[in-house]
Amino acid sequence: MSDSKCEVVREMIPDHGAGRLGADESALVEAHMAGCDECRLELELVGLVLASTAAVPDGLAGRVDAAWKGRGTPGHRRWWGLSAAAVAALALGINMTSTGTDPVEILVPGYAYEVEEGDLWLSDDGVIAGAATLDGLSDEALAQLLEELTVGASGGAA
Amino acid sequence: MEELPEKQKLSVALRIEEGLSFKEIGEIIGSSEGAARVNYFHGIRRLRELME
Repeated sequence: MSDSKCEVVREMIPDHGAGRLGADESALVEAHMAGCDECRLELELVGLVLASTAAVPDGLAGRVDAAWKGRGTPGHRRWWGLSAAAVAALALGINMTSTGTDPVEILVPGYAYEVEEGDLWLSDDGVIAGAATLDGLSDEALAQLLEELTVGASGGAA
Repeated sequence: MEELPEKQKLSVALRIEEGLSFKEIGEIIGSSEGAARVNYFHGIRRLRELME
């Protein structure tokens, strides 16, 4: 089953998977999932993503925190309140080195904390990510692309 | 997740793990709310393709 309700439910799947929804909303999502393989599959995917973050080593979050504090906090930088664990996970995946019990050099990606409005997103895969194109699209174009991504994906496997 | 381009990876991670709104994610990655939303669903779709 795949209908317009998928669009609504898909917005809620990450919060449902992480247990952040209230009882009423969770019941709504569950009721939809009972008849929608697409959304159920997406929930499984969310579960896998959440499970993968459990591999962040104990203490790493604190070390990232310390590394961050050690960099100093020039006035022009902004921090969006990401948890240290989230930054640790990002650092693990992107740009971090560790040498066992030796002091750990943690290279927190700059964009995790110092993106300023109007800054360019410097990325080797920026074009693939759509950085060079998505940000220049109108809301209408983005909505159309989003529809292709969600409705199109549902329709393909319905 | 490692297979995803950075913006998609960040959008997926921040939406799922941190529960941030697409507006908040857009502010972090330097994109509009709409672009963050598209990056997220792009990432999800890509992960699904990789799983299949």
